[in-house]
Amino acid sequence: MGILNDKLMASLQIIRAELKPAYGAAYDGGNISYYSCGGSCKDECGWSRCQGDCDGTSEGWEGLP
Amino acid sequence: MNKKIRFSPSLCVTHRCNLNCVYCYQYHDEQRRMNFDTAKKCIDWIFHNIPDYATDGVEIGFIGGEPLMEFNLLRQIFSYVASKYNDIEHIFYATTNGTLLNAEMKEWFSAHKNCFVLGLSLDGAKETHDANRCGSFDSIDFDFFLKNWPGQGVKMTLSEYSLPRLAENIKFVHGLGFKHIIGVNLAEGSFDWSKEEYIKILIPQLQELVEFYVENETLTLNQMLDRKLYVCESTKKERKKWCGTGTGCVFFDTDGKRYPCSFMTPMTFSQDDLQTILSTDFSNDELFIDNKCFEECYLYPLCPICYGANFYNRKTFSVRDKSRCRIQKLIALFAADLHAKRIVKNPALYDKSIIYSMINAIEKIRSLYLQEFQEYLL
Repeated sequence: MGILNDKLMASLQIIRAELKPAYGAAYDGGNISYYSCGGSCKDECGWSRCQGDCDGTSEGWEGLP
Repeated sequence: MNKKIRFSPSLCVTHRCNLNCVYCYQYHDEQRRMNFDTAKKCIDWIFHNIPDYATDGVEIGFIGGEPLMEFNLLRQIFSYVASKYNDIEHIFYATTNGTLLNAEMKEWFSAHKNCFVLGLSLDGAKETHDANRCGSFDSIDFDFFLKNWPGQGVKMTLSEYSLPRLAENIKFVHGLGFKHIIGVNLAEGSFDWSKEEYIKILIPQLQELVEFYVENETLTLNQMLDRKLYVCESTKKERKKWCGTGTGCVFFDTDGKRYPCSFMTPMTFSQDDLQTILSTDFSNDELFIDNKCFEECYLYPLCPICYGANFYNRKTFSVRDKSRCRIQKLIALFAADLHAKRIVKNPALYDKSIIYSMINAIEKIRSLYLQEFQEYLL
């Protein structure tokens, strides 16, 4: 039990090792947009329905046509 | 990927509210209501100032106070837009406490549900909601919201009362059928998040929620745990302000005057504070960056602040309120635990393009912050 215990971390490492040959080089963080915070913006802005860049716009949200 | 961006200005139609919630930070001046002439001017401005980047039409938000106190005005605005700007794609949205919806309103909103969306504020089960929101639980017709906007989430605000009941309340809201829970944030309410007692209260709640969301793997995570941890692994750091306050955001108060966003208004700030705020150059991102956080904190990409709330508490935009750092680290740890367990249980839940960086971020968060909380986690 406990959070992020050794057994859990070992399982993650196995999954990552299996991914690395296919995705390791491409997914090292370099291709991730710093501002694709997706959700963490909403952590502060309770009104925001933004799904990504918090620039005063929204990309629409669930449930809308 | 081409994102669809929608221009999302807001109109405050009234400062009045029929509730007086325990955490409310607004001044409710009974006299301040928007009239139709002012509303028309705001609407005309909006439709004549749609930015080029808005490729997905216009979304007009109505804010209060309680916007449904001005139901007749909302209908007038709706008709005005339909008659004058029907060739421009648009939609309306209002956040409501849900207590004023009568038969006439329900009929009207149901008839226009595809172009007018209502979002509900709901703090959880009856006991909590009533404690926070003036005993208003029984006045809400949940089925009306679920039936008309089944994908729409609810806004949940925390209070001293609800924090020790967080998990129970989130499970309750999901149990009602609402898929998304937003607003579960640290910015509102009167918490002093530097207090150790909140760490102790929050840990069992987060543990219970992790267990719940691992078991119910298809549920959308509530806002507090919905952290895209992999963005911390990004190598692209831009010195940008987090939101569009004062730039992309457009907010009209009841008198038609524009303010930086829905937080920085006369409902929240004194005239003196507003004078300072309005003299700020919002286009200068450097005025909004806390260098210490930007340079030193791994969690910076997961930790945007509400500049309005920061100014409210600290009278500054650039120096962040650090009292929440520990609680943010704690939440990041549990978010990491949750994602780790979900990945191990079913890696297919995650897009292959991010899972590698997600695992790296989980490891990093564990190495940086677990020790700090070990005494509470044993």
